[in-house]
Amino acid sequence: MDGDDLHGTLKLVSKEGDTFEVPVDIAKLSNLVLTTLGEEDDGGNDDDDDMIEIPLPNVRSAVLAKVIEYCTHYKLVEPMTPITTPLKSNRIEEIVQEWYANFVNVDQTLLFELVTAANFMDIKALLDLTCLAVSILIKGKSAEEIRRIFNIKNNDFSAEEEIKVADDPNAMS
Amino acid sequence: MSKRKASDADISDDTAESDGQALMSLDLSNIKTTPKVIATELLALLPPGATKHDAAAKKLLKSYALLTAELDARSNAMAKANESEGARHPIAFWFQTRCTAREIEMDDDCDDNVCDDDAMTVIHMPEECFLKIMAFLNGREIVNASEVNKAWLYVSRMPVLWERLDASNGLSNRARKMNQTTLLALLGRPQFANIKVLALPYKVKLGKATIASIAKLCPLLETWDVGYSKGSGRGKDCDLMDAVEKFTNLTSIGTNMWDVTSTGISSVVRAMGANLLDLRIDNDCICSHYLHDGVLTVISEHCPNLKHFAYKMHSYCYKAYLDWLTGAGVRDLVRGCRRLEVLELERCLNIERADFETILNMVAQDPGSFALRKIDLIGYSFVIRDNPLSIVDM
Repeated sequence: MDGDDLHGTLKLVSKEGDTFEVPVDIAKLSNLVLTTLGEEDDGGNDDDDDMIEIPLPNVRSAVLAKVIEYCTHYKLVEPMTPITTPLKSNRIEEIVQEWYANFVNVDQTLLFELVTAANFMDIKALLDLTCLAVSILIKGKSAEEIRRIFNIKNNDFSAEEEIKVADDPNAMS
Repeated sequence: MSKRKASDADISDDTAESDGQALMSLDLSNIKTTPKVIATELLALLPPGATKHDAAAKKLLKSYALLTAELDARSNAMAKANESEGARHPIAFWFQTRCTAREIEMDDDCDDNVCDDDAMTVIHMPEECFLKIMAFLNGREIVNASEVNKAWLYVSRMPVLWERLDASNGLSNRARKMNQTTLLALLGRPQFANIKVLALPYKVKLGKATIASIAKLCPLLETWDVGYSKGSGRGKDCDLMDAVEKFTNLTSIGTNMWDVTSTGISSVVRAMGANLLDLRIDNDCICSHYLHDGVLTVISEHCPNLKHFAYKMHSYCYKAYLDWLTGAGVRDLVRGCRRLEVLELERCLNIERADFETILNMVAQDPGSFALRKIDLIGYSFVIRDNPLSIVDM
């Protein structure tokens, strides 16, 4: 029966050391988890009864909770409509289902942390969704507006250089 | 690069040798030195009453072209330097720390003074994530983003972001300044090396040499669109044939029929054969070139893999007595091209409701062997719904 338990749930450990118990089927949406499980199986080292623990030292608890929420909905309620390019709309509600559109309607810090977490945990659908949400923040904005939104300091280009870049890059008008 | 240096030297030589002191006394930083003042000074250098055809005037105009080229080259060099510097910068985003989820949870105890402006959370974005974000933007938006800083500039120049160049990406020629040379210069930029879709802008003329050069610059090109989407291309029958010959990965062709004839299209589809997946033709009717049933029969015999066929006719200058495209041709097309998924027809007035009924019956009787799933009609009193295909009056 221990074996069943092992395949039933596993533990994800956040940066802060908080432990989240997650059904294996749901956690497997993460390729990182999938690979780790594969390695554990190969080891055949089942002699202790403890649940598998996967440390995620880059992911804060608040972010990990959101990631698990996403995976649970994806597995148990409905998978997300795959995002294809070119985008058929600039409104996220028209690209994915309402639940997923609402899911990324969070403050920007959390959204960006979700991008990096999805990348680290290798969850393709979540990475697609969060990257799309960020790109929609950028869409239709000028460089100056983008800098303001993300507090990017312009200590990089001089004013003159900036004009030259604007003149040049893909100079198509 | 060496060419640019040479042009730089050319200009300095010219100024040193020929231009007189009058020009040297012009202070370009002075606001009173308007373009008009400069033009007056320059005109004074010419013989009185000289026109554009005067040898000295020609030299002056040529020098203007060199000036423009040199300034462009400098901008390019500067952008290039910025780009390579950007490769060494991380992509980072800063957020006010008070915005983090943790702070929000404790919102009650946290007043604005505690969350002072200096407390910023920095999120470093791995390059592959940032590329994914950029990939959701169109060309114009990528160009805007490239001006944020050097790191953004660097990423915006990556060829993976540039699979298509068309009007939606900002490739147009509304100012009509683009010609074969500037087009080739544009396509020669490193970020455009992997382009798969190219829709040529308004009024850029082609020719054997230009097409060969484009094929060298964009070896992966799959879609060649001369005047189907946006603007009137100026491709001729022979240009299309050249494109088929030079672009080894070509699968999709879009064209208008300004200088293209039914005979030309027949040759093209014969030459493309099984490689042709997508053919879209826009007939502006002005030049009286019309597609006829024979072409569709040729397509049905030679292009078994065709997935998408579109033919648009415009009401302007439409001459019914030249239009020989009928239901028989479209029936042949559908019968021959079993992989055809989408058929778009606009104002093909000789194809009637009964013809579409015949086609739909044919498909309905043996649905397993037809891929056809969509027929888009414009300019008819009825439309065809998909899933299953059925005629509906409007």
